[in-house]
Amino acid sequence: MAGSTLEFREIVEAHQARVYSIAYRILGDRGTAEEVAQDVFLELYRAISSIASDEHLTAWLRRVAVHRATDALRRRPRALYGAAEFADWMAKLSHEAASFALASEVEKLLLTLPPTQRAVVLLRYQEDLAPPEIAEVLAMPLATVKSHLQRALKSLRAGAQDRLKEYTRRG
Amino acid sequence: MDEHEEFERLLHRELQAREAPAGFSARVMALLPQTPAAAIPQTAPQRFWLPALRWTAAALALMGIAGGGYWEHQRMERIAGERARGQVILALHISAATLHDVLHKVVKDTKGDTE
Repeated sequence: MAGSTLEFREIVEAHQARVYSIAYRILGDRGTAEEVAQDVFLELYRAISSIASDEHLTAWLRRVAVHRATDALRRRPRALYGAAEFADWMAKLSHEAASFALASEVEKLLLTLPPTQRAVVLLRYQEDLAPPEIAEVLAMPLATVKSHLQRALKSLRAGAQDRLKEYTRRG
Repeated sequence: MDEHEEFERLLHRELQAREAPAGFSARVMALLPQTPAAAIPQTAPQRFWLPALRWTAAALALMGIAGGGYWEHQRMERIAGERARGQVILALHISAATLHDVLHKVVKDTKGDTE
């Protein structure tokens, strides 16, 4: 694939939103997400001769983006949102500041989940993969994927309901 | 549609891929190693077998040199052997001739004594 720098640029442009979104939604940090996304494409550049098809390319990018973002999360836990930081952030929000776009709200709820659950939710709802495909990308048993997905949805719904109650209370 | 399905639809809708920051692809391209474009991906499979070809050629050349050396060595040994054989035959001829002369003299002397 990609016989020239020009063609590689086209690959980057076609897949940058996917790779950046996975990194950003796992990390919750724009700067680190961009660094991780850049690293993923540099790794792709070195491995491009092993990519056999467009489907292989997309699967490769999903897998490497999830793994590199999760690695970065482990290396820099303090710089990123965890459940406790998220609770602080919520408490400090003014009513005006809280009226941000719903996408951002969902992304912030996502950051309250453990990293593996984040990855599973992203692959399910951003990448629209079925649980067996997620199991393949994350190299984990199908039953584990289903369990992560179930728990993640339960947490997200509970978080969303809390947010809704908060809005209603604030009037 | 139940509440669970509705929530899943909301996640699908709200977790669409975000745009990467402006200039992202240009920054990635600037980070690439400064390799000539033609030398990257497509030529990589060709380069894969080039070292093997070089090694094969080198091995064949070495085998040719070694084989040639061995053949030359064998030829020299054969020549030396033939030369030695010739010398031995010559020596034997000389010895035979000398022996013949000696015998001839002895016979002649013996005849002279008896007469």
